[in-house]
Amino acid sequence: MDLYLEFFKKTFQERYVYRFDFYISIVAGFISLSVQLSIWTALYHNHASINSITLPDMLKYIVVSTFVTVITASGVGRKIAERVSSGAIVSDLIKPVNFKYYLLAEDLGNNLFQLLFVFIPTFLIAVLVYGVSLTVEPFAFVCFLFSLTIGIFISFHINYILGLLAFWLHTSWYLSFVLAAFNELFSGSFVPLWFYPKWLYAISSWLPFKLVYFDPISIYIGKQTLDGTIKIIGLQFVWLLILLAIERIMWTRAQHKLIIHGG
Amino acid sequence: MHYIGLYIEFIKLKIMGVAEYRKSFLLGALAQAAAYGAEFLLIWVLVDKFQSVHGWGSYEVMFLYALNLASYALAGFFLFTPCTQLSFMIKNGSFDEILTRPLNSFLYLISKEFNSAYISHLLLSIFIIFICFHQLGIALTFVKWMGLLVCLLGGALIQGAGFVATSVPAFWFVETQGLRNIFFFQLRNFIRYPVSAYNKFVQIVLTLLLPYAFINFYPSQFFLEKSDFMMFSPSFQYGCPFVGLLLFGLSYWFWNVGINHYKSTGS
Repeated sequence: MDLYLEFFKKTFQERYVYRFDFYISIVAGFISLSVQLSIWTALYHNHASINSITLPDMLKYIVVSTFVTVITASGVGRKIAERVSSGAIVSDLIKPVNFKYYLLAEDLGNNLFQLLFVFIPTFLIAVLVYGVSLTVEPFAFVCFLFSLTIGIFISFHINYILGLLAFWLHTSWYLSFVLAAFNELFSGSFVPLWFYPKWLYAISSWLPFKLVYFDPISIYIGKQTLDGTIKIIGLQFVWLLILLAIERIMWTRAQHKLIIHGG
Repeated sequence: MHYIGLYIEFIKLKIMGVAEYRKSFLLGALAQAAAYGAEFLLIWVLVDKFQSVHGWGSYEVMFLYALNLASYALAGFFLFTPCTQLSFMIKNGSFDEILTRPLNSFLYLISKEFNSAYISHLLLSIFIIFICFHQLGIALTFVKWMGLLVCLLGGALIQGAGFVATSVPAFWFVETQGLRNIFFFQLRNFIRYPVSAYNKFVQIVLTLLLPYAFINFYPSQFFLEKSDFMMFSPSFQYGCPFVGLLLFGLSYWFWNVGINHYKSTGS
């Protein structure tokens, strides 16, 4: 654990060196948040509420969704692909470190940095400029944090599994586009699933992406009953187990694959 | 003229390269089409649910995005790689090598580095443009065909000017990724939706300061027979090609200023 904390700290410090980069990120983050907040305000122009969701609910949803995007971002797919094609993966496997947890620690270090130095300033500007309210019931907040934590692990494992595909594919840069498409369509990161047509909602509920975004956020907004919340958390555990099983199988095979290539 | 011959030679080489990695190229193109297809679908879902954004229906908003994406693809085809690689080339000294060639550095870079991956954006958005025309029951007359062609080229020039203008500062500061991210990619996101839906400040910025609204918002009113010009003149619907030529000319002039100022990093 201490070792991974060290990786976490190192990544954080590395990011801190490139300070100019994060000033830029704050401005970019603010613009992208502004686009979304303005669009939803325009959409709600003639509607008091749609499917009993009001504009303040929706603005809250967007800000929380941006927060989830920041905290679940992952560079794992790209990192594994680079290491496989450069051969550096061999030395990664020799190190007495769990490869997966090492990558997870790096992701978390990056994301925490992004959260403190990019998201929080962006979000403060948004609150001042757009007057978004983020009030939340204390109990809902605790449930949200719990569910979000499982969501972070789900999201990491999806990225990690996709990254492992690099062992089998010659080029894998396009996988990130496929993942982005799935994430955008089925997670509710941009358009909440309340507004989806039935068929699209049905597909989304068979996939894990909405457990990372839509479900935790809807807990935060206070649109879930206690039963609904318990169901979400149960389903999250089930999906996490499925993903862990897939990952375990692929990882064993990937190591064999490496030996076949002669390391 | 000389450059066209050169350009054709480079294109041949690139196509041979793509043919070598056919599977990877196809999968890449499909994946990108899927990602952008998802965005079109979400725009449709969202606007359809709310019926309209500031009077623009779901197919009209999709049309806006399709014009934006198609002209971006045309510009990206030629300019994405040279512009995004410029800082890197300045850093490692390979740009100096280009300056020693007896060719116009700008045209040489453009002909050397084109990005074939944009084919999928272009095909997808043209397909969506026709779906929108069909769904909105707008007949494609000869004038509209020609208009579409002119507007895509004009839009590509505006987008191209955005690419170039956010890359030239590399001659002074070397690194420009952040600038490009803000002034080109992020701010351009506003034109995914009708500009009239934003507050006055944003409307003025997108019309007069960073005239991205001329890529899709103003020309769409000609194609879709709308009149949503906010505080501006309806003649703006014909502005796209003129704004494009002007901005691209300015950005080329800026490029030359940058080259004249350029001192190698010495690497």
